[in-house]
Amino acid sequence: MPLSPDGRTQAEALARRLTGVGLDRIISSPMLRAVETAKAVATGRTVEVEERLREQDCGQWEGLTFDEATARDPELRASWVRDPATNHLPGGESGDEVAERVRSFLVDLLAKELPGGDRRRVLLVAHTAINRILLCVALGIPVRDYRRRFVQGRTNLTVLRYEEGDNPDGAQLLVANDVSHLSDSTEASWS
Amino acid sequence: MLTLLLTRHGMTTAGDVMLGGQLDLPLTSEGRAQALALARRLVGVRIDRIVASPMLRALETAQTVATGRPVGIDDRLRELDYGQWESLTYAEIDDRDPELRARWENDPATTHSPGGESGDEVAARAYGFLRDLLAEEMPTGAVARRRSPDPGGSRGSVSESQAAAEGQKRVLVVAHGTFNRILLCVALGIPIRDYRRRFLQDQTNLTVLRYEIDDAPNGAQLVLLNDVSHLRGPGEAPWG
Repeated sequence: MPLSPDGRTQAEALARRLTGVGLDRIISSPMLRAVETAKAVATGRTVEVEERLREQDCGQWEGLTFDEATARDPELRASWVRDPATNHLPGGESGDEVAERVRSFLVDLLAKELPGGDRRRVLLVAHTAINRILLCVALGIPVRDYRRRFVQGRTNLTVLRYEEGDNPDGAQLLVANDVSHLSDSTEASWS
Repeated sequence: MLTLLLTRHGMTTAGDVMLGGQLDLPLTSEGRAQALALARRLVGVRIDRIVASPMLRALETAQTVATGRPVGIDDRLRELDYGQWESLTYAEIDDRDPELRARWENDPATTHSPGGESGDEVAARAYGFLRDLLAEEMPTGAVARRRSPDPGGSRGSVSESQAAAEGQKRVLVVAHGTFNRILLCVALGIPIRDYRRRFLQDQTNLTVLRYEIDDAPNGAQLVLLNDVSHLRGPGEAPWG
């Protein structure tokens, strides 16, 4: 699905927010909504596409609302809510499976960007479930808790920092879910 | 639902370079400007209760944001007591006792400076504060508003009167850099040992935690962390 007009406005607001902030790389999920967002922020700079940043695959439940999913299989829905790390939707990915590709992505990113002691800044553009799972991986929080612990609003700004020698689970969380660049953000993030 | 807005006091006359837990310093003019910026950011945001550490820098910050509303004081929100390391820089601590400094770097949960508090001791008072706050503001049996089913984790907006009627409480807590990072570990179930490594708390930042009915003190959702957009100009990096 492409971005809506609102979505493009949100991406442009993030782009304005990041004007003057040096970014060494911009890496996006291959999905259209992420690539469009990344390109809006990139304003001409290169956007790399990374398969491992795809959104969690919800299998046969793709496109269902939570109510529809509950109606279809209340038991599975309940077990997924209880533990979204080990449970997966029919034909879909579990949280642990997503965490595995996120970890692999972070291993490669850190191996490439950390040595040398330069201060590198990389912008990742991805999706709500995978971002929250990435936060769990990066902060050493159980993947099972990803839905309970974090919020990822559209075009929010979240900042993680790694020092040389840090493992993928050794990040510091500098900022999480900052949406102050969105015009309706006065209370949006906590209302 | 309980929404906990968390902030740290503004700049004090000690600057931001030495360990200063118990030294009771006032805000500088810059610190007051930071507190005013947060006050402006929160204009129009309904806040049911404001609770501050008893220390001057936190009280001054809270009173600035309160703009006339009452500020409650809770002794458990005090900064970590650095004991004999108070007012020292890291370099001075290394000169005095490099071995203890190394142990503290390795595990600030169980290690404490001579005469000071460990991270675990501060976590115990943060836990006690959160437990009592949840009991007071969100007593069991109140009308539950379940977590939104929106997969993005955002919640549908509701009117202020509706919010009050359904027992959605908002509490602003004004405390300190180390204390806040330890409280975040407690609230999010992260090992206290990691508090220095995992979080940042810039002066007068806005951090938001959310609790639903029946959540334990360690069951919070992190809605916003260390947002300092009210202190940054255009083109400035949005992080510390």
